[in-house]
Amino acid sequence: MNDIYLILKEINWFLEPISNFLLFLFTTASGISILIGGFIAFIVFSVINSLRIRQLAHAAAQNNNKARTPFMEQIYIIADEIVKIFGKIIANLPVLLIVFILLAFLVGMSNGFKSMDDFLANQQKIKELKSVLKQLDKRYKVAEIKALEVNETINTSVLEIRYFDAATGKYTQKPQQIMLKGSDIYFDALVLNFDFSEIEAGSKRNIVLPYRIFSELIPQSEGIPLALTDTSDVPYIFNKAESEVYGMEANKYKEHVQELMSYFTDKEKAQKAGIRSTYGNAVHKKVVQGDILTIWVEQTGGLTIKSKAVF
Amino acid sequence: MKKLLIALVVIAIIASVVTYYLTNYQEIQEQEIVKLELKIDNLKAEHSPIRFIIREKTEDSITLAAKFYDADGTLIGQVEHKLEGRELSFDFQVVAADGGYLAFPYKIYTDEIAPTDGFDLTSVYDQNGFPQVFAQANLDNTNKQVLSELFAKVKSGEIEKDKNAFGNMVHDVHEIKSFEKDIIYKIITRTKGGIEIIEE
Repeated sequence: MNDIYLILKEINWFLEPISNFLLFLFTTASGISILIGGFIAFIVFSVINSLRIRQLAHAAAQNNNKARTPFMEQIYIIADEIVKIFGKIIANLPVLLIVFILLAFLVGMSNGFKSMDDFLANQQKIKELKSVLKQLDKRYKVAEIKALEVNETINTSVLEIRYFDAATGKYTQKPQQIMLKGSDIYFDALVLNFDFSEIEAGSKRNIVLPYRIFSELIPQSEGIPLALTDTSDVPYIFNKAESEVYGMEANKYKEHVQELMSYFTDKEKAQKAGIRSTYGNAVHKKVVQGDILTIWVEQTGGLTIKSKAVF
Repeated sequence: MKKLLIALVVIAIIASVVTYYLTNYQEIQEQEIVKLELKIDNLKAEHSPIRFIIREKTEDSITLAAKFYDADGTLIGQVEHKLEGRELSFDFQVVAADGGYLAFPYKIYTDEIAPTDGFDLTSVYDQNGFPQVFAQANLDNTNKQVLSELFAKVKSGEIEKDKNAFGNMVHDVHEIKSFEKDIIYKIITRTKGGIEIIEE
């Protein structure tokens, strides 16, 4: 199908200019003016030619170069020539009709190819836009927080945090338990957002390095550090992204984490790597006992937090 | 000759029908392209309600100046404040609305100040109960009313009970990357609820 389309496209390479020219001649005021002008010029030329021949015949008959065709004869020759031209047109009407059909066919074929071309180009554009939309609309899980206990009397919360291990596509087996003052829970992380061009191409995903948790009553400096890495010191959220995106071996992850950290300090390096922004980002939500919150990194940038529906 | 002519006419009729349907379908395609482009633009759309600059920074304090802008980019208010600490945080209340999220600037605080003791920002853009950061030329009265109601919930803290609302705070990290003096930063809010800080 694609081969046929390419052959047709090749054919249209020379059909299209001819078709455009024909459309110009028969469908535009300028084209029609040129056609009528040409036709009138043809009639005028034919009439002048006939008059000239008759004038030469008179000159030869009278042996006088200055001999002229009588006025009434001139009128007759003009009328005769015009009638002849129209007579020829009527006589050749079937041929002319075939020529017009062929021309219309040529124009139709060319337009058909062009329509097909536009149709396929639009299909391709829709496919690309859907892909861009899908990439931009994506979000990736970072962690899940479960409020095991919220004591409003002494204003403390006991939380269980599971990190999403992208390598396994599951939450970590060993959750981290945290007890802290307050009930508005702040999940703090370092965020690296890639340029939209990188996200749209689907080649990069925004990176999150969770590092502390605090509450409305605890300042960040007194926040509790998060156990964000696996046994190889690799951040959980990082695993699959790295193996997928950078095609790295597991033992190179740590090295790469350090590389990523350098993007926070080296602005030029970050720009070269296609990173749009680096900053600290904490999402927070007031919890009641039994609440389950999921933290996401959005491909359009930044973190979000959603309550998980409980059945 | 006659057969050729008939064949040509038949081919021309088929080609015309195909072209007609392709042209019609192209209109549907073009509508879909416009819709997809709008959705993409919406996802990439950014609203920058705050620009700020660090006026003074010592080992234990930060003095900042922040300017607030409405949705059309018009300056609507400013604030200058000194806070104890080394990391500056801008906290927003993010509320689901009309298929996207609205981010209400809420508080500023530092790594040494607990969020509850932060400096309130809502008063900077509160114009008779309407959150001026969302003001724009073509905003109708119904939307104004909805925004004012949401803003009232944000100010009273009632919004915290809303399942679809959450807090979103952005900050610098002293050990890695601090906000530098005299550099202009802008805070960008995204329709999907994310918030970013970008150096201008």
